[in-house]
Amino acid sequence: MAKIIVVTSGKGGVGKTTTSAAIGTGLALKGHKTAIIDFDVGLRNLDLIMGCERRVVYDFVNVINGDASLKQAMIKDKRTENLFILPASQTRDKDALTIEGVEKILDELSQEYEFIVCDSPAGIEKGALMALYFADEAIVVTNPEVSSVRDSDRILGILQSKSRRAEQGKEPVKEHLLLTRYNPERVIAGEMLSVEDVEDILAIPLLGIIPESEAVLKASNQGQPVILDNEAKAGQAYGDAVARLLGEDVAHRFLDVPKKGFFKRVMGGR
Amino acid sequence: MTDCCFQLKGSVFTAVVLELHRYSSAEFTRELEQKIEQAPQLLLQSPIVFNLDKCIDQAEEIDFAVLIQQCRALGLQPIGFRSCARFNQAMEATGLALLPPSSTRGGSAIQKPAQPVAGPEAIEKRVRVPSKIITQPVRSGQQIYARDCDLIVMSQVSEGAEVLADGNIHVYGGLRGRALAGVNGDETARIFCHSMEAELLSVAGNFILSEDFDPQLWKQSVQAYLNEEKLCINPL
Repeated sequence: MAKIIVVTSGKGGVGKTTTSAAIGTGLALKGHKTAIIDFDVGLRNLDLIMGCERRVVYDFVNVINGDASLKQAMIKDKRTENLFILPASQTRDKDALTIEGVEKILDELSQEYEFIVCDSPAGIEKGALMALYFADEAIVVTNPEVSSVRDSDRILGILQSKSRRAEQGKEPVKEHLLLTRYNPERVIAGEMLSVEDVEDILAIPLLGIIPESEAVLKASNQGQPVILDNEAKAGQAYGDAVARLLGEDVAHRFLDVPKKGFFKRVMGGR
Repeated sequence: MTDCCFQLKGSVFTAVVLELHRYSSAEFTRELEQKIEQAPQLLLQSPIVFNLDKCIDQAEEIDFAVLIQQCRALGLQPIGFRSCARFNQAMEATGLALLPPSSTRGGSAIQKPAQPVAGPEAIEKRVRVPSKIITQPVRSGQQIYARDCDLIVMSQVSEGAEVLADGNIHVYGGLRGRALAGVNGDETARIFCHSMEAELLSVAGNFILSEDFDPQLWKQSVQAYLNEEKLCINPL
């Protein structure tokens, strides 16, 4: 049986799709057969971040409606072995998703895959509820700012009350906090919440801290998951997060202000 | 059984009771406006029940229709009157519901209807309602209500969450949301918490907002209780 992981946040623009792409790719790189599903029906983005937008023929809603088989709709990633993407429909809306339809697809994927990463849309409406309903684990993506933290808190409440595990009284969904766009300099300046602040408010285990990085935007625009960028700190941090997700004990990095080199100090550059 | 298109069910709701002490139209509107401004989210659209027990001598002069209109104009939703024999007819004429008279709690002036003497059987039936215990964090947007009993939260209550109890409330994590004890009118109810960072504390409808808290009590272990209708917060 596959492990179903939902990447969610409540708030939009915090890095859910970037995280789904990076974590999914990271799991596949470690040799686990992984599917990433875009639940953001109507605002499909995952295909762009994964750089497979030109290869989308059938989508999630087509499979739910029986217009296409799952095999036809799954897009095999060209860069990474073991990685497949199920894109969202761009022409439909979230009402096209049904519990039964989603369950059928997840059941079928579970036979073949080890991990299913569900990329949730923002908000707490139907699309987001569908994405988290079947989850075994949840990665809650949070930016170090108050509104994002509050929305994450809200989504954690929903995970513990409206997921299938909650409804059936099973072991609760395992929660992971992923802090993205973290900038230690701004934390010291008091402009950003610190890791400790966020952990204190949300009270769930920390999966990783992704430093704010220009590499993320570059990777998105190039259609290449940032985890493949070994040079970038953000890519390395996602690598660490994947290792922790798989149970490895890896120390957190990139929490301190980077020391400026001699050249930068002289030039006063950043 | 025939297949009926509806089902009748009994249910209990919390409503705000508006207890009139005296009434003059202008004064009422002005003071009500002020009250709503203090806590618009708590009061707007909330169901209101009028209780005239404390101004029974003046009640004859009150035009109930005007009173209801004043409340509606400010966004409240009057749903009924506490019944009071002398005015039941006039109250009914407004089209709102007549609710059972209040109990003697709070020193109401009306006479209690003679109650049947409780026999030994009735006493035996009185069962203790166990406290409601919550071990998980109460997250933003969640609401926990302990009916007829105390509420014990072993974890935190997040900002934007709300915990309510007919009895006392204990919170052993950070209390960052709202806590309302004695929501059914129990003025002896108290709130106890380990780390007071609340948005609002209320006992039997008497509330204080975070901006009115003594800053020295922030993140301290405190209790909140009513002392002559005034909500007091003291360190533990």
